[in-house]
Amino acid sequence: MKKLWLALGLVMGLGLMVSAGSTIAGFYADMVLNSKAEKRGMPPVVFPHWLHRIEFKCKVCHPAIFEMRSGSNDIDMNKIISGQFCGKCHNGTISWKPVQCARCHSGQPGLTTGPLLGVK
Amino acid sequence: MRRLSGFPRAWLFIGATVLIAAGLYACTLFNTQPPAANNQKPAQTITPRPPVTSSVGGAQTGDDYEDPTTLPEPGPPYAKENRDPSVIMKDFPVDSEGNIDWVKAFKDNTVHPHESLDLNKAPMPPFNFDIEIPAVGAMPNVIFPHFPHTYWLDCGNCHPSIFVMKRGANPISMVKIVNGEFCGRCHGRVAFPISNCTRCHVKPK
Repeated sequence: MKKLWLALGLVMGLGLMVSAGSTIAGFYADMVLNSKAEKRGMPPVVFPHWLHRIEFKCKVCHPAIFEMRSGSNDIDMNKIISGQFCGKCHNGTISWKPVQCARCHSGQPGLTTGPLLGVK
Repeated sequence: MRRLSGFPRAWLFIGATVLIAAGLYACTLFNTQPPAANNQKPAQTITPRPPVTSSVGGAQTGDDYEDPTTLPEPGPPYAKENRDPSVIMKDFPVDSEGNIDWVKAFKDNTVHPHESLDLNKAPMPPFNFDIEIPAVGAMPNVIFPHFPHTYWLDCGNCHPSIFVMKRGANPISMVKIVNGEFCGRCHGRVAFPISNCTRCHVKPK
């Protein structure tokens, strides 16, 4: 009987180890933007908040460019290309142009708009 | 009792060792597969991508342009090493919970974030104004420090829409914070999580 429990525990432990060792699923403070992306046939956007925080204080973007509530910014590619929202910097002068789709549209399908980790 | 003495116990031990070794081997396999897949790609292209040090005024590299006729493949958010926070932020100071301590990071000059898109704009002078917020029961009171908040944010980010600028006028509670009101607008979502009780509840009664 004890042998059985030991085997069961080992199998479960093995499963835990394998699942914990899988690839990065995201980082704290990442935001998912998916109010339009998937409806229009693109993977959702995962915005890396803390990578931007290295270079810019919160006040640079909030609230002048982005409202501080997920889902309250009506962002689309036309607006970005014409210089609004992400396009304020991602225009080839301050940062790279939005020409490589997968650089932002990198989320797995089915993600909901809001923080990727932490409280929804 | 008899079954567990002598030979069976030895076999159990050997079996367990073999299984643990197999588990560790499987773990390393799963861990090394994605980087191995990533490492193969730069070998095909000519120039490896240099690590990103600053995104401001950075040069446009040619491999940022892709074939516009194909749709992107959905994948993990951090496909490249120079966009992986766990690589870029590996030397950043962390708090007791293991999250990056951004206040310590700017105080010890790890980060130098820009104040504005206008590079000539002078930074806001430090606003040292601490507020004591009484806590329920035996919890230590909260000391809200204005300074690290005004370093990152403007007054208008929080006042008056999230916090009314009058003592006692904000009915703050932990339930409301968990539900995304008051401090919870940022903490637990983008700023450090509220599970770190002692970072706010600092003043014993």
